[in-house]
Amino acid sequence: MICAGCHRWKIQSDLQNVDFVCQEARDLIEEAGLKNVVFITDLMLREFVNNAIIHGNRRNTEKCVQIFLKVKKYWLVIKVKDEGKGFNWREAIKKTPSVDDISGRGLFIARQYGVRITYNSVGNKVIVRIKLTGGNTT
Amino acid sequence: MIEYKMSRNGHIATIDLFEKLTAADVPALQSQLKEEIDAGSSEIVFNFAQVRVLDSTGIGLLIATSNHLIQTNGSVKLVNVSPDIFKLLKTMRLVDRLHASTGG
Repeated sequence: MICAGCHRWKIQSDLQNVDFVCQEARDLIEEAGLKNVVFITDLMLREFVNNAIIHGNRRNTEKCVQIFLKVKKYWLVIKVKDEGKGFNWREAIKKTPSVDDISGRGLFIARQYGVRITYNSVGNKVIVRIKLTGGNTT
Repeated sequence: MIEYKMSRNGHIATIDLFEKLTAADVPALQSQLKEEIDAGSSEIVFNFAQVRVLDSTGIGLLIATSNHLIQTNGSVKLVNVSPDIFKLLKTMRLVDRLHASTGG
């Protein structure tokens, strides 16, 4: 922990490490009394950390993914950074999958839940903002 | 690592999933599903009673299984889906496609 309400993780690019981060995040959010955003926070963490491991770092376990989580008054903020070259997020963020598609749903889910997504220019760092209904009173 | 229990009754295979169906779990379950379909199962029922986490890769596996079974007039069915996951599937317009229900 580096500041009040800030949490950081640095994991190797192995999907088996994602559960650990998500479980700790779930515990932190529940402790903060924000049960109504536990499901969407867990889901968004998984989507963006999975993307960082699979597409960003190409599952290279010598590369790491850095994750940051902070609960603010009106927003829960997640940052995920990988060591990859990035991707064309400007195109990806517009896509709407068909019901038969077996991939490409992560960003669409974020859009449907009203989650705010901001990438850096190359696309290897994403900031995810989840609205806290009524604000964080803790 | 994914935990699940699989049983078969005629052409119907039932898979009781525990806790989650996510990107880390898909490869192990994918090969088991292929074996079930090859063995003649035309309907696969996923019991979500104990599942609290489903991500887009897990959804992809369900769709891929459904796509495969549809070719032989088979289907996928999701039962005992939690309200959060049901809402997610509804948002993705997949409730009908995956025959998802909150009941058994």
